[in-house]
Amino acid sequence: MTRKGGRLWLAVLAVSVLLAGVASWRLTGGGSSQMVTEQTAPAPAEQSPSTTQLSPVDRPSGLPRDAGRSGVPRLLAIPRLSLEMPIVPVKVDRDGAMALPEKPTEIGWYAYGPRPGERGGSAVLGGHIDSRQYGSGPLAALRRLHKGDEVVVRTVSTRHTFRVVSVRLIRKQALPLRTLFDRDGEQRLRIITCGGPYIRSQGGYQNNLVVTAIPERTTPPPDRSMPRSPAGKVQG
Amino acid sequence: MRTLRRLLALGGSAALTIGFIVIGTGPAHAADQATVSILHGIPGATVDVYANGKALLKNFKPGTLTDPQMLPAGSYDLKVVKAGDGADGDAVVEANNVKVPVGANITVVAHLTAKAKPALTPYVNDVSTIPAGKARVIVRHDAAAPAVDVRANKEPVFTDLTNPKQQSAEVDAGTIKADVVLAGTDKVAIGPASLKLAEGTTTIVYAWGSAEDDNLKLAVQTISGMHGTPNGVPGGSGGQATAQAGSPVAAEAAVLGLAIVGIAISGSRLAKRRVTITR
Repeated sequence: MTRKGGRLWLAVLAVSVLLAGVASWRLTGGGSSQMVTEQTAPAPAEQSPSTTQLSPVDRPSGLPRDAGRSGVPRLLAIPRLSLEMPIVPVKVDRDGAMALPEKPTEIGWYAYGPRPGERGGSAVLGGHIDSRQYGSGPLAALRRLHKGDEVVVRTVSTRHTFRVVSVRLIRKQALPLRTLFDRDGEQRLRIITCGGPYIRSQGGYQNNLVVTAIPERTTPPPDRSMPRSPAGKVQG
Repeated sequence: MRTLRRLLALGGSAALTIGFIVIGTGPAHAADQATVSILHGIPGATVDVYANGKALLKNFKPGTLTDPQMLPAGSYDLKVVKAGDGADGDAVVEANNVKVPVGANITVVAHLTAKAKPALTPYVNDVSTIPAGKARVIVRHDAAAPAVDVRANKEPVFTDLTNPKQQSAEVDAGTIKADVVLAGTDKVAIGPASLKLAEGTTTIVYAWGSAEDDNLKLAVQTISGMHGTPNGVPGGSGGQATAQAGSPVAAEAAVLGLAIVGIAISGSRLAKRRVTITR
């Protein structure tokens, strides 16, 4: 064998080692598509049935909460990804899954659960990463989110800021639905779309990409003269 | 100790205030407790309710439903007397050895039988999880009246319901117009009433009163917190997003695979070469 051949194989080895290193680093969570393990959220609280009156209820009625009311989420913004998407209230589809807006340019808010910014429980936003009819959408960029990235949800009058605590790819069959859609536990924002390999014969995407964020602060409506709370007291 | 609670009866009666007089001892321990509500569905008489000889409710007016109260599980002798008559007063109606199992959610209804005799019926409320987007409706016939149908938006949903039976269904959450008709007819006995069936909530509708005395009414109890979750989030249908950038894990796994093959081949070639040189 010639010296030239030896150099070639040395080069192949070097490149391979480099690639292997980068790929494993990314696979083990070093890269943008990191799968940060989130601390397991506490199990959903026991059912707490309570008798309520027929007269005015402050919790969800049979229908999605009125989209015109303030407090209803209108816009999702993720500054680092230059992502902005209108939010529409959604319910449940015929198969019992979360109903998502048809267009991947819109994201749905699960209107039976808490609103983003509402104390207690998980506010769930979900949307199509792509669609046969409309092609790829902005949520394809979600996998580039990092822990600590800022996520903003705007209502008519308020701006709720969240910080990403985890970005996870979860097998669809293993999705912890009770935790993701929890209505009583800690305040969370969940953004869910599809991800992982797309296998047409096995129903398309094999995974859900789940972004979990925790509340940072809420900017009160500008027209309200509220006493300023000292910086130290602002909920982090 | 007296907890004031708001009560309600659909069909006209004003909201009243009534409290459970706390029986049993010490603070509530959920482990050996049951949830008990009481509905007064006997027209005309304000009553006191005694449990095991102790006052449980005072000045309990027809058409009122107590909020649920945690009570120690066990067996109760219940006695309903005219208000002020005391534990030894003549019973309007009584029921001995009413079982209240641990963890159960029960509504005890004082009502008239089909033949207008007072009765006490304990119902166990179904508080199992309801599929996302749905509401549970339970109808209970506690009126001195013949068999009825209960309709939603004029469509019979529950048919041939007789005193003191109940029927249950899971329906789409939303607001319906409910009425009660004589079974198999369009003759409206009660209603219509607008009924909000909230998602993940059980709404129990009681028909009570007396057809003969023309005072049939509805009482409504709602129990929330039984919501299910969607069974998935079908977040993509095209596959273009993978075509565009590749799924992160799949792409990186492929690169890793290729790299390992590269290491193996080049490594073995180099090893061979070294062997050649050393010879």
